[in-house]
Formats: sequence, C-alpha cells, structure tokens
Amino acid sequence: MKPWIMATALGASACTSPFSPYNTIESLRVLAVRATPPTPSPHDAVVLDALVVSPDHEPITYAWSWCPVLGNASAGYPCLLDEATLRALLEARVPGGGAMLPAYDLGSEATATLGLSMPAALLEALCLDLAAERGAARQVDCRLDFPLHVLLTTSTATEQVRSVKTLRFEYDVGTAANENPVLRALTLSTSDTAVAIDESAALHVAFGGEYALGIDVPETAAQSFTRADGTLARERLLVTWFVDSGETTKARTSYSEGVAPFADALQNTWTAPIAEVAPSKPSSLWVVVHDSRGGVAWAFGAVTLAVQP
Amino acid sequence: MSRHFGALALVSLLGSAEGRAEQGASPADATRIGAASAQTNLVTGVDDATSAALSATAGPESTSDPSLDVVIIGERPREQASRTSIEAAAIEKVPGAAGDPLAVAQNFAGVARSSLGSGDLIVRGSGPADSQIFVDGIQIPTAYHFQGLRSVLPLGAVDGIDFFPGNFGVAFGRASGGVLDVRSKTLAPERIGGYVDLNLYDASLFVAAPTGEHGAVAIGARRSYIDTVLGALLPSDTGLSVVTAPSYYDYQMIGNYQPGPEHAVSALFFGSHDGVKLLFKNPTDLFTQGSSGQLANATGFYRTILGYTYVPDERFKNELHVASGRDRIKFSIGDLALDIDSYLAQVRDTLRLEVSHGVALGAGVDSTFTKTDASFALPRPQKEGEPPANTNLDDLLVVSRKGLGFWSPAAFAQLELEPLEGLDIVAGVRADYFGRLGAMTLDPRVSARYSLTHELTAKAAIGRFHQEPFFDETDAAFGNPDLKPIRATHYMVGGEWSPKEFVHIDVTAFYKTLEDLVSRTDAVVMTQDGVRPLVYDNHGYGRVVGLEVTSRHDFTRNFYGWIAYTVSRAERRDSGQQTFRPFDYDQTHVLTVLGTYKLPFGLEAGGRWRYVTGNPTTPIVGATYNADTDQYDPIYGRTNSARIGPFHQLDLRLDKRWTFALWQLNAYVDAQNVYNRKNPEGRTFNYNYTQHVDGGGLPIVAIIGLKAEI
Repeated sequence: MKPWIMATALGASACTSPFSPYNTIESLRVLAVRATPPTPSPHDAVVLDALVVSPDHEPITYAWSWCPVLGNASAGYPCLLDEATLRALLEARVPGGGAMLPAYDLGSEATATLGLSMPAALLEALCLDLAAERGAARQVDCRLDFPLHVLLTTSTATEQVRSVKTLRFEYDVGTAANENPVLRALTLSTSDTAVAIDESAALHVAFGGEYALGIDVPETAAQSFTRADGTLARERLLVTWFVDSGETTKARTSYSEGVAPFADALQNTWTAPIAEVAPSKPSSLWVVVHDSRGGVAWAFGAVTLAVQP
Repeated sequence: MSRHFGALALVSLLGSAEGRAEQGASPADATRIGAASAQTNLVTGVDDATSAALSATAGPESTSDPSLDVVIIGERPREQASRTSIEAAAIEKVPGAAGDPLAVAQNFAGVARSSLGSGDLIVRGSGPADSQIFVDGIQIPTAYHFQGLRSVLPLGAVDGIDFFPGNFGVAFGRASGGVLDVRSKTLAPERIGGYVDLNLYDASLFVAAPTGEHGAVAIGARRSYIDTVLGALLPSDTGLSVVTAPSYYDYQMIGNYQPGPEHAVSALFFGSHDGVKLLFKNPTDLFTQGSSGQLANATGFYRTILGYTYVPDERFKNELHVASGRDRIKFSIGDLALDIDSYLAQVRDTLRLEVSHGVALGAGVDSTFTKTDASFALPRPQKEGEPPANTNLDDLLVVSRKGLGFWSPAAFAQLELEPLEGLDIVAGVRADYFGRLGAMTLDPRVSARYSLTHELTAKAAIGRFHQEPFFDETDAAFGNPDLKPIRATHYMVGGEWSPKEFVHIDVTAFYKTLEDLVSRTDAVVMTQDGVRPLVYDNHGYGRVVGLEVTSRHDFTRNFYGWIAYTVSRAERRDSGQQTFRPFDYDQTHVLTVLGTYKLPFGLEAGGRWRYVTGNPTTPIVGATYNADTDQYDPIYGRTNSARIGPFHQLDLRLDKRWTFALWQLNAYVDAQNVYNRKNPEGRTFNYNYTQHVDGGGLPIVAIIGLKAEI
C-alpha cells in the first residue's frame, strides 16, 4: 500500500491542517451550481442557478456558458470544440439544424436557461459525431446520454471563481427522472429545541457556544433508480456545511445505503466563535445537499451572536 | 552475525546468479580463499583474473569481536563495468538505514533519493519501475513492506546485495534502468546459532544449524508491532474504525547442501504479507462521491527458489535456479479496488566455459511464466510527468481479466576476452520475447576494463536494454494493446584509482537515451467497433546525462566509509511535444557522506549526511470549482517547471557490543535527522490551491534496538 494512502487515512482523522477548512467561507465562493431538472430530457429547458457567497457582500457578476467537450481539469477545462464546428456538425445531420443549438454564451444574469430542443435520436447522433472528432473521444461518452458542461464565471471587483458542472441530457429518462433533493429547513438546537433559522438572524446564540445543527430532508430525497446494468440502487447524498465564522465538527456528512445511515447525514455540530474573534455581523450558515445523480439543494440561515442569548 | 562470515561471504560468491561467482573458482577454492582472508586480515584483489577490487577486513576467526566481520564494498567482478556490492556486515552498520538491506542502496552513487516512505529505487534518471529487484536472480514483486517501510528480507537472510546502476550484463533483462540483486544467505554454521532482534518496527528471529558435514538449514521470521500500538495512539473520536490494524510479517527457510566440491544445492523459501483494514464512518472522508468508507490492503507473495551449482573443474561452471511463487495484491480505498492474483514460475540457467587463457564463453536462459487473474475499479492511473488530479468516481474503469498467461523467455550469450594484458572485454547479446506484447527484442551489450597501472583502471560500456510497459498501459480497457517495448541505450566511461590499498576512487560519466517511452496521447484510432481513444503511444523520449564520483575507504585503521556524489540531468519529451521537461525525479545533486569508526570498549559510531536537490514540481496556477464533486480541481502550469526545496539530513548511529562466552549482545541507537531539518517531501495545498506549504519530512527520530546473537 502506498504510504500516501495511509497518510490520507490517518491524516483525515487525526492530523490538523495549517489551512482553513473547506467549509469556512473567507473569500468569494461558489458553494453549488444547480440545474433544474438535474437530468433533463432532450426537450427540457434547464434552469441554472448557483449559490455564490461573497463574505464582504461585494456585488457579484455572472457569466454563464456551455460546451459539449472540455479538456482536462489540469488545463482548467478548456472548451475543445468551437460553436461554429458544432453547428456545422449538426447542419451535416439536419440541414438547417444548426439553428436548434443555443449559443454557447448563456448570459450574465444570476440564473440562465439552457435547452437543446431536439429529438433524442438526433442528439445521440450528434454526440457520436463529437466522439468521432479527433481529440474528442476521450472526453465524450454517448452511451446513455449527451453530456455537456455548464461553465460559470463569478466575479467581484477583486476575486473570480470559475465553476464547471456536467449536465446529462438523457435519451430516455423513463420513470427514473432525477429531481433535486428537497431541503425543507436548516435548524439549530438550543436547549434541546430545534429552531429553523433563516436569513433574518432572529435567533440569538452565545459566543463560543456549541450547538447541534440539523437539516430537514425527507428520506425520499435519496431516490431509487435503475443503473445502466439493470440493478436497482439508491442515490447517495453528500451534505456540506458551510460557515463564515466558528467551526463545525464535520465539514461534510453523507448518506450511503448500507454504509452511512441517513440520519447521520442530517446532523452536525457548530461551535460559535468566541467574542474576541467573532465578526460584528450575524454568523451565516449554509448547507448544500448533493445527490449522486447531479441533484442539488441548499439552505441558508443566520444567527446573531450575543453574550447572553 | 555469523562467526564464519569471512568464509561465507566468499562461498556465497559461488552460490547464485550470474556474475557473482569468482571466475573459475570452485567451492573448494572459495573455502581456501576464506581461510586466507582470516589469516591475513585484509584481502584486496583476491584473484587477479577475477576481481578488479575486492577488499575485506579482518575475518572473524582473527578476532573475538564479530563487529569486525568481513566488510566488502566495491566493484567486484570485472565483467561488469559498473557494479557496487556490499555485504551484510557493512549493511548493518550504515547509519540511517536501521540495518535494512535495501535501504542501503539509497547511499550509492547514481541513486536518487526516494520520497519519504516510498522505497522507490530511482537509478540514473530512470523511473522506479524501470529498475528490477531480484533475490538470487529471481524477480520479486516488491522489496518492501508497505512500499518502503522495511525490506521484505531481514538482514539475517541476506549475504549481501549487488547493485548495477546501468550497463548490467546480459544475464539480466526486462529493465531499462538498474538492477539490484539480493544474495540470500549461504549457510555454513559449525553449530546452532542465530539471533533475536528487537527494534522500534518489529521483532525477528533467525536460527541456523548444521545438518551433518555438508549441509545446513535455517529458519527465520519477523513480525511488526504497528498494530499493537496503533490502537493506543489513535484518538477515539476520529470517525475511523480500525478493523485490522496495519501489520506485516515475513518468513524464510534456507537449506544448503554441498556433497562435494563439484556440487552445491540450495533451497530458499520466503514470503511476505502486509495487511490493514480501516473503516471510515463517513465515506466522504475518502472521496466526496464515495459510497464506501473502507480502506483495505492485503498484499503478499512467496517464492520457492531451488538452486544447483555444478563446477566439475576450474574451467566450467553451471548455475541453475528454478523458482515458483505467487503474488497477491488486494487493495481497496473507497470505491476504488484492485485485486491481482498471479502465479509465477521462473527458470534461470547460466553456464560459463573457459575455452583458453583469456577466452571464456558464457550462455544462459532466463524464462518467466505468469498466470494472472485481475480485476480493477480504478481511474486511469497518474503517470510520470502528470501532476496529481482529483479522483472522479464517474470516470472509473471496471475491468475483470481471468487466466491471463504470459510466457517471456530470454536467452543470452557472452564472450569474455583478454586480448592484452590488463584489458578485459565482455561482449554479449540478449534476446527477449515479451509474451504480453508479442514482441521480440535483441540487446547487444559490451563493456571493457583496462588496467593502466596497478592503481589505475579505465572502463567503458555501451548496451541496449528493453522492458515492457506497465500492465495497465497495454490493457485494452485502460490503454493501448499495440504498444511496443521501451528501449534504452546506456553509455558509460570512467576510471578507478586506488591511491592506497584501502582507498578507492571511482569516477563514471554516463549518458542514457530512452526511446519508445509510453506517453499519454489524445489521439484516437479507428477500429471495427468505431472510434477508440489511443490513450497511450510510444512517442515519448528521454535522455539522462550525469557524472558519479565515489570515494571509498575500506575498513582499516578502525574506519570505513564513503562519499558518493552524483550530478545529473534527466529529461523527458512527451508525445506530441517538441521540448524536453525535467523528469519527475530529476535531482541535480545527490551527495552522501558516510562513515563508521570503531571505538574502544565495543563501541562503534557512525554518521551519514546527505544533500539532495529538491524534486521538480509542476506549479499550480489556478483552480476550477467542480460542482459535480464539490471540490476544486487544480490548474497546472508548465510540467515540472519548479522545484521543491533541497533535502539535507544528518543521521547518527551508535552501537555497543557485549561479548560473552556463548553469545553477543548488540545495543544500538540509530538517530535520523538529528538537527531536525524540516525537509520538504511535497507540497500541501489548501482547498482551492491558493495557499501551500512545503513539508512532510521526517522529524528527528531515534530507533533503538537490541540484537542478541548466538
């Protein structure tokens, strides 16, 4: 066994990092990118939005785009196929078909919409054409769906974050269409009472206090589905707990059938910052739930810190 | 250490693979030589016709102090232009190696420093997998427990090691880098003896006994302590369950039988096992997309090696080794899994015939057969020159292969000539058939040595070497089944100067080209099933140039040690690229200064200081937030265009030996990194790669041990 694996195993559990944890918000962050529906059919118009946080509340600009073939992550996911070439491929299949394609540029609003609006058979044929393009075969798998990539560049005056999300237009969604998980509330427990928190920051908590966090997510959020090999499976859930002050016991929790219990994914503990280091504003907490098929949900809440809550 | 080591060290020269034996010497000769060494206390150039530089200290018969057992380090047989050998007695006392037989090789010229705990053997700018490690000429799958912690063979089962940084003879093949051959113990005890060794890592036992006048047997075993202490050290609130704590063990059985001076039979059975099983309560501690929190490893192998040496007269010698074994690797981390079950058989036969004075012929076969079942659930692995990337579980390749059988025979022949007094030329050729590739290769090699004076020898060599690509690279799912073998050409020229009997200086310049290197490509290929990514091609190229200087002081005047310095430049040019980049392990300067001094009262003190240029690294110039995996993917700049900081470290060792009537007790402390240098082993980044720290090196560590010998 490679030593790094052992180091990972033990390091993940026992060692301290010199850096702030992943779930502490200290700069411009994209916490999630959501597509609705998460696994669309070829005729769906997909609504895209993102959970973006600037701790200093600076104005945020958005630049949405898409690309069917991306290069390697190590090169920053460059788009390997220009828009004109893609339109030409579609024109070769269907004269005039190039007009069906939306422009790569999806606008600069906080939300964007992407629809391909073409028959599944044509979409599959187009996908195979892409795979045949020299250099593209490694990045395109057309067996079950047409995978394309949504790119989002978010900026403030001083910072920029580029994000990528894969969107799979399924040829045959059938009855197993994925839905974004349902996240009803983010709660914080004081004196054994769980209280839903929201952006109002109405709840007061003590500096340095330790509080149980929870999320209200129905078990159906982890949907059952049929895998490509015909076996039945249940989605896994990944829950990430972000804070702008204080710290959580775990940065992430998860549900995986038979491995990690559902209830464990919904709980965490937050230790509020002590007075000496606490910001003068309310403490913010965000929770993002990812399912294993591209579904996303999030919730936000804030609490006011006080000496005597 | 055996009290008969002086004789054994030389008998062992006759007992195993090619190039090891004294030319024309019979076992009986060896015994005589051994006796001579005991009487004279110093042997240099045992046989003018056979050894370029062999030096030994006092034999054990000459002293009651076993710490003065034979110490040999240096170039031994002259048919190899570039070879370093070290015997077990010297290995044990090398500071910083903690008595580990293979860790000592890290101190030789031409060897780059491997990362902490990796155990990689990086020789003259070749990758770790480009060099082969053998035991008595038989391949073993791994040299270390847990990939670098401890050698799979304890010192007690080893007579010594022979190291060839390049231009090795035709008897060795399937490697484009170097060769490290471990010589197993050749037994000749007069009575039952052995040792018990207790140290920080493990406990071991080795017992040898004579079986009549002509034979001997030995058994040994070793087991680690890690599992017993881990539970105490691991906090209870880690979110980690230790199902099977990490542990390793190994075992050895050795038998030697020599019914007469013409025949010698040996048997060696040894094996190794590493095991660990951890369970993360939260699977996302391993991978954000993970569904399994299990980290498990069960790796082991065993080998049975039967040897027969036939020396009817001083002109003819034949050595036969037949080996069989099994390699088992079962590993999983989260959703990634690897399961390999492989059976191996190997036959190696080498004969040498001295036709006339100054003319000898050698020939042999080296045939391996493997049968393997394998299954994988892995992404395509990171290759040399590729920076690490996050694992995307959507990109896993799930592959199962059953009953893969590959036969890889090889034959070789060589001619040894002495056309002039003092000039030795060895010219040979090796033919390999690589069963997995369906490819045949022919490797001509020639080396020469010329003794200009008694003190000064010039040497030069050139040769061609081939090896297979990695298994995954030729697998249809992971790579390209049409890949060719990798080809290397080694050039070296140098000289050896012995200004005093106990001082030897070796200067060697080397150059190496690596052609048909496997390199990743974005190209696609048309098949009857449609378009398929080629994944890899043979369009990679490499070049290595360097100079090695070794200055060695044999054990005399209570001191031995050496200085080894290598300056080199190793570069690669990847498929489709026009420019060269530094090799992943390109270390411009590698300096080792090492010495041991024998003090009064059974004390012995040693030190080692190393300075090594930091490894190249690829700078990270940004990162992209991957909303599918909820983590940042790094964006890399030009490959290997930066370096981490240099490494330097001082290790000290102190031994104290008490000698009693029937046994000896040796206590030692081996302190590593005594001035607590924070050596950078790698670079750690924050979650979005905007901050980093270099570190990970070993702090000051003291290894304490006790060894009782009978």
